[in-house]
Amino acid sequence: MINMKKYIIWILMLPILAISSISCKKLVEIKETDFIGGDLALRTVKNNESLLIGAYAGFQTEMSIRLNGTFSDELKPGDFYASQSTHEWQFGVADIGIRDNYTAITSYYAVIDRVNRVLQALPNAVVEVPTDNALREKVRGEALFLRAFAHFELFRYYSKNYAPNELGMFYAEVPSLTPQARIPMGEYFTKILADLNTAKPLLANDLTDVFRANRLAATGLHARIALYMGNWNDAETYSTEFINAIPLATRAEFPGIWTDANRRESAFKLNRTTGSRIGSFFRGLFTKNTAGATVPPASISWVPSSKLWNAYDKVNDIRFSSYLIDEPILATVAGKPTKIVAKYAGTGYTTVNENVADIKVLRTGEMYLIRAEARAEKNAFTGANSAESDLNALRAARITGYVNVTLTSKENAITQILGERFKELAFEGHRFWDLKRRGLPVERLDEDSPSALGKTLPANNFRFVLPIPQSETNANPNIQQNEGYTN
Amino acid sequence: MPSTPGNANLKIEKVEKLNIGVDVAAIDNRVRLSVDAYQEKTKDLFVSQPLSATTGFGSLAINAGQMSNKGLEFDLKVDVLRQNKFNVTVGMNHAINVNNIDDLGLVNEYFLGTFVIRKGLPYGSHYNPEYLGVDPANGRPIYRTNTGTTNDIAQAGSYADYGTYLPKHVGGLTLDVNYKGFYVNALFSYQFDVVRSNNTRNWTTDGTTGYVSAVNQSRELIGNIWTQPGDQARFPSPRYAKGFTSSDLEDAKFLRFRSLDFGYMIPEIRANGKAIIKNARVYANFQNLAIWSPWTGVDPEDNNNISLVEYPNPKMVVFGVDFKF
Repeated sequence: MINMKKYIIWILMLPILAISSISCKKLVEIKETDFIGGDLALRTVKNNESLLIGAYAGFQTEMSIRLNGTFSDELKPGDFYASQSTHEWQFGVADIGIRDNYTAITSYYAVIDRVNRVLQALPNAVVEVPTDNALREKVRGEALFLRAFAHFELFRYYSKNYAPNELGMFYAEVPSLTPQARIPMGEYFTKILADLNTAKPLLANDLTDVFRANRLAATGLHARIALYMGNWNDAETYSTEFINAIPLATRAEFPGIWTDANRRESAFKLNRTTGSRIGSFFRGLFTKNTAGATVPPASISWVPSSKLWNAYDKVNDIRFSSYLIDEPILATVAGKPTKIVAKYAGTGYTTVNENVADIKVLRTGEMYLIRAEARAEKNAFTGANSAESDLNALRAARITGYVNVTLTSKENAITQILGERFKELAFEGHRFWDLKRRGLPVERLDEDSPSALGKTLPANNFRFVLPIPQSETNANPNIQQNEGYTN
Repeated sequence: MPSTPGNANLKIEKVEKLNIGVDVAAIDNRVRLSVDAYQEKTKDLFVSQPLSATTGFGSLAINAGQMSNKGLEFDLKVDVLRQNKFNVTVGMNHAINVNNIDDLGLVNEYFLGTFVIRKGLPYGSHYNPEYLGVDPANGRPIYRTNTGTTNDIAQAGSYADYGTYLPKHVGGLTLDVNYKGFYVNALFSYQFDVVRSNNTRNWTTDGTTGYVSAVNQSRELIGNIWTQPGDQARFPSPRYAKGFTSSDLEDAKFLRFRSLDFGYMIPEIRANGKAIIKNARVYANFQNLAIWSPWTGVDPEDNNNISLVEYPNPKMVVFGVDFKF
């Protein structure tokens, strides 16, 4: 009992001691221990590589697959449709963020901020093992590559077609909390190309890891940027470099590209697991009932347009069976669309990796079409090393029994190339921006149009360029809104 | 990965309060009035400042500016009847709060979702495009712009002319009656000068294909939706979404019969000089019996800016018997 008493007195004294030893002022000034600032987090080269991986994680080109599919004539609504404002081009500055998430400005500048922190900390980062010196250069190259790429993506969302005096975006080169204004595209693209050219020699010169930027990825990106800039010589040069290093897949290999059974044609992919199922954008997962039978998904959001479906040679074109399917299981449920997207089905219905697929960012098929377009623009539309030879080579690789065509003019070549891009690059994030780039309208078939208003987006309409989201114009008084939109 | 930019200079906000209170009683303490006036100034206000996306971050916690609250509260109670076995007391309380953003430091306004924090306006002022109805010619929505009107939401500006979701006036009325062992207590409460967005209604009256397939649409659309040229309608043609606009902002004032209690106190029951039951009570309690409000949603009472599929205050009826031994 005596002991107990002693303890009780001791316990009573504790709070008194505590009160007398800490003044209020000191309480306020306690340094947070869960705060890890840049100086600590990016101390070593390896630390910097970790943040670089974080930048890759934020680099998600899925948004361009969704946008180019639903804003264009690639997709039409399935049995669930809640995207009228974007699919029928009725969006304003607020709903582009609220109702449908097309706020590329947020995700890409987050990527840019991460690589800028890496680029800032890297020169003084501590070397732990001798190989860190080489790693430092590689990390720097990849950071610059991602910075160039992310800024290029922002241009595709928020800027008009390339013209040096029109507005680009803000080019962020150091981490900063200051709201910034947009700069002209001439200057903007100079910076993109400078980053890309600095990155090239620093990058790994092989394809052992296609999930990390490498020299061919930079080459492929350079070809694509040149295409958007109308720099036909560069477009031809860099696409050729890519094509010479990575040939087209054979018809036997082609389906395996989309199930990730092989890595043909790809210089750069984004690694995806069950946490991010791109296929689920088009349709939900199949399930099994108690009897073991496969049950269709509850909702099928987007299905291929009839325009796309009808564009293929369904018997001989390997792309048709790799990209699309008329699924008999779906016919068992009344009202379900049966013609669906198969390209991102992953490992198959009801499997663990259903709807999981790596994002193929830069691949040979696109490079052939970039080169064909560049050559056509240079008036090399027929003969050897022309748009015609590129188009024939690509089609011969995809279509059984293909007979070469002869292109009759530059215009004829461009039309055929755009039609081929529609088929070859379906659901890869190109269509809407191809139409924008070429100054063409979006034209849907009657059967693909949800309404009369949702049938045509006139050529060069202001909605080919997304608005700067309201959240951004609110927070940043310096940023310039795009034509046609009011804050 | 960096998740927030951090602010080493963030400090605790300061509140300066000034309170004056008066308690008055008159007529043999049968009338009791208590009045409180206050003025409150919050300095170094905590604001989650939205950041430009070009910074790579969403927001930064900062101390910015000053907000003031001025108010008057009074509480009046009158014993209408005070007899040995019969007492009636009526009461009333009312509070007026005037909130103002005096200063925001470096900038004049912050936008937080669907409302704005703007110098000179009360906290929580709604900020949306202004919906002006349907164009009878083509069924398209009409929005206000700085120079006139438009049919396209892309060209509609946002405005802050609709009021705030924090009520300026709140109050209540009470009635207490007891006669012998019987008692009745009633409480009414009210608020006014308050506007909230009825987001549920926005969904159920959207009318476009996506909403029709996702959410049951309201009967309100019948006869009120544009169908042909010349229609004077409240809701646009189902081809056009009207969007998140002022059209769903509604007056959220109300008078609510919040509770009613009545019962009977049974006196002590004794047997053989011993208390068998010291006392007992038979009672009924009703909560949220009725509400009078122009609000078209389920319940106008909540302290947020948007009402979206919220549970209303429940109606409850409790009957009971208490015994004390």
